[in-house]
Amino acid sequence: MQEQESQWLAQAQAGDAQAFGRLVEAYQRPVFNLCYRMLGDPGEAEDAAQETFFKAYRALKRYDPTQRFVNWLLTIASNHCIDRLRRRRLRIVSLDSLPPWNTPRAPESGLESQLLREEQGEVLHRLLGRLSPVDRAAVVMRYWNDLSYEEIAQVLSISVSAVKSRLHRARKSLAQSWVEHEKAVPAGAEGA
Amino acid sequence: MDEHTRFEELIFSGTSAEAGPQRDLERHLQACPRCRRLADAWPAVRIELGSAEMAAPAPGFAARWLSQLQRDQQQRSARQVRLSLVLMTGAAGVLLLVLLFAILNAPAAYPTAGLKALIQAERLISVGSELLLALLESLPGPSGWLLATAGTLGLALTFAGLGAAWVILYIRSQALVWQNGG
Repeated sequence: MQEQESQWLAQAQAGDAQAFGRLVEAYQRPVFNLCYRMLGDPGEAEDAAQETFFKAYRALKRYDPTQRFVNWLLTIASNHCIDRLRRRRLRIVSLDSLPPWNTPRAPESGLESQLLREEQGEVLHRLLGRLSPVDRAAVVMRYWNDLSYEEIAQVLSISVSAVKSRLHRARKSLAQSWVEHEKAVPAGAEGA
Repeated sequence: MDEHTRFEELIFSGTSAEAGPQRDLERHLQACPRCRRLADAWPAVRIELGSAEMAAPAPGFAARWLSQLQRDQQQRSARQVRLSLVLMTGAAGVLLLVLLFAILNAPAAYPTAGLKALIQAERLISVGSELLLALLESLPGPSGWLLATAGTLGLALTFAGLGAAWVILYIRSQALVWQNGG
């Protein structure tokens, strides 16, 4: 994969859009997932992910090969989503006011397990929605993309200690929100 | 750092603490219901985070990206063609205005100067053509008048080609605009 990625990158840097299209195919999921977890809406996430790849394509000559390509894409995606959220905040819309969290996924899931996952997804959506955009990005990169503290620091352009402190604050906030959720919906009552 | 903050760090660190701090934490959790609730809640959240699927875009994401890129590139080249046409037309307009302004400023001088220039040009052309004919007649092979005709035709075709290029450029820009829905 690494070798193929380098080959596609070289071809794309030489102006081959089809080669970049293969990179889009390979990395659409982590980029879309970050946009989706950050913005909470599939339509908006699609726009943000498409825009991320356009920005990457236009800035391809500035890509530093010492950084992992997917991390570079995540940097562009997180900056783009944070900007979008800032603009959205000006319109005073919170994640809580968005439609229920229906995680777009491959169609092979069974109906029952899909319903269960949608319920879980909604809870997670509410929990994530209470975090600040940067904290949310750090959580997504840590738990969905398995990025190290150092990689998250590089992607978000902050120090490693700032990543640790943001993740600690995010975990605490998520746990507090979970306690509140449990109080509001006692165990076993959900989905009944 | 207060007592709660110290224990919260242990709860959310994600790694198991050494025996000593772990004992202190257990003792604190028995006495502090707030930290106890957080310590109970965090593993559940951690499981949710760990089991959440990576969201996938609707099928055809890369194809949509490529077609959007093509549309963007077409729009960009159409914009460039339009800009070139506008600049060419603008430059011609400015030159015409300058000429008009100069003629209006000195109406008598320009027809005279124009006539002089025309006569000089005509002389230059006739001298040039005489030289060219003399040169062609001195050459072996097909007759000179044939080559002169071919040269004239070549010049005429060059001008016609330039005109056609301008027209094609214009039509292409209009077609791109039409393709992209205006």
